[in-house]
Amino acid sequence: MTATDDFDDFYRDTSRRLARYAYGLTGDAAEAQDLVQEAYARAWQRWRRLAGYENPEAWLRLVVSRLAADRWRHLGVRRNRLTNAPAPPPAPPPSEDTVLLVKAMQTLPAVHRQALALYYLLDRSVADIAAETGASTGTVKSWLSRGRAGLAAAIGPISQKEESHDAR
Amino acid sequence: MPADLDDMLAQLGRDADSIPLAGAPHARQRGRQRTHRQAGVSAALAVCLVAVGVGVALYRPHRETDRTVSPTPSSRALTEVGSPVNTGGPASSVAQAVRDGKLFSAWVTPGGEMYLNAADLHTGAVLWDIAERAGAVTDVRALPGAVMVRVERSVAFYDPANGDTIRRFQVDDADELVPYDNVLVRLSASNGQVVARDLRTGRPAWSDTSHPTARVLSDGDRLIQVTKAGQILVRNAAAGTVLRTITPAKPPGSQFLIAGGRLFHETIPCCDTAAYRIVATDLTTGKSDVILSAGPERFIGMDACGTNRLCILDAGPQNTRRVTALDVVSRRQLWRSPAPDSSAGISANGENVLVGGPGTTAVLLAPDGSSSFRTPDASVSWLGDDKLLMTPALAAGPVTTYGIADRRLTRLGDLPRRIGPCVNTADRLACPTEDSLRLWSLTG
Repeated sequence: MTATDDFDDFYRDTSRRLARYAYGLTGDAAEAQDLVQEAYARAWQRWRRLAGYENPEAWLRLVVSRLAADRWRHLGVRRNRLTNAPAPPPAPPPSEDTVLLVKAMQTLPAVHRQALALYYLLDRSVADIAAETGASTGTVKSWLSRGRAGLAAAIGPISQKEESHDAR
Repeated sequence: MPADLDDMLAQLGRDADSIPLAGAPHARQRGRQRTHRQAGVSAALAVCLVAVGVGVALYRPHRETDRTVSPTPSSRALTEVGSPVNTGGPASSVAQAVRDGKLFSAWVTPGGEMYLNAADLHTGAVLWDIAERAGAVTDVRALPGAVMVRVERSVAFYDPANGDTIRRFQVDDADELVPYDNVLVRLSASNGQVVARDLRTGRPAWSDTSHPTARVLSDGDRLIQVTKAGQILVRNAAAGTVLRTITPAKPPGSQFLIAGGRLFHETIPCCDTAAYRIVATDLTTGKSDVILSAGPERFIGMDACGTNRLCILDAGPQNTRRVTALDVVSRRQLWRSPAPDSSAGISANGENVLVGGPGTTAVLLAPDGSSSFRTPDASVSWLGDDKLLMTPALAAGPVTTYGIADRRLTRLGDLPRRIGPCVNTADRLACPTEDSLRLWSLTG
């Protein structure tokens, strides 16, 4: 099997999960598309080395986390895509609940968002998240708990606001 | 009212699953483009392009030492050399290289046809051109006796005098190719084997199947082979003779720099979150030392910034970028200066250092580390030893030079929107635009 085949298999097996993660962090489908492709582009640059990692998928998530946190670099990435390659097909519009949830997630600290994305979107265990983030399991539980509480607190006002807009 | 939170999270996951992705081939192509951008546009020009985003405004940070003459406001176009070469619409990929007064351009039309032509840099006259069916062009290199064009999964060599095909063969697009005057060294990505063949005939010159190899690098007429076991083999590239086998002070990471007879590399034990070290290995004596131990900073890049000097760009925990200059002999820190946020590349010319990145300001650091010039949102490259060339990154806009010694800004004229990287010599600038390849004079 060639390196290309190997990489393509890896992409096929992992890209959907990475898209979930990127979408959970950014709440923006177009940004998630970009982040996923950029992360795999970087993976391909160092594929020979990365293929030997115990968990190359975690490396990809690390790249996505950094890119998502780095707004300026992210914008640069997006510009490159726009000028050098055809845009991927647009994502279908998200559901109303997702729009609401995304708005609420934007109010959370990045670590809470990251923990929620790993736990709820990728079905990672608390122990897995602790290992990936270098935090203790207690800290991860705290992030998840506070993240959920933050979402609930944010969704209420947003929801009421949306409803009042609807009423008008 | 919103649904239950768990249901909403599940719905978010389902919505994420419906996001279309561009696919693995696109990611590989994008990875190659990143590699080529990072590698610079053309080593033959001895310049390094630092793409830093969009826009054209220029300013200087030190008004108290203001000796700059403002550029003359002008909207005149640059002086065009020769006639534009029609590309049949926006080219899907373009790569260009310069050697011996010739500009070699390869591009793929929207219809999927690849063209390669050679033009006289002085007059712009097209000397020859050929057309072929091919995938995306990823690299063009002008060698002493051949033009090497790499497309998706094949490589072809052409005669620089007339465009005749010398040789063509298939490669994995992750293979590394290192051309020398007479041999081409190929590292197979699939098995780590290194094979050198006569560049023109393809006849095997030598091979190494006993040291699975991670990287091959060129150093004059020597080949530097970094094995997967972490050893460094120094070979005569033409004969394959091993001149020295070196075990570096620490196992190599993924970024390498050869300068002043030394190989510099970073070390990353497991992943990007770990501390990094910089190792310097003398390729002649084999002496290998850790010259910088930095952590928890994240290594980004490095370049040689003078004799026995190394400048390193890294990022701290808050993503704060900085440049550190080291004396590689004494391991003494010479200076440390902040770099713009999001800096992603570093390029040195003599002891001057240029640092910048997509969407951020590019800063020129003087030999003492002080910030001597900055330009937001432009593409910056070295123009000879004493000037910078600023071109608009993506939009149409002015082309400007900056004299490092006299701090003079000179506006040369306007450039139309380009769709790919430009290449330049001291007096010529070549860029792909929406529908053509164009060549301009930088001297009026």
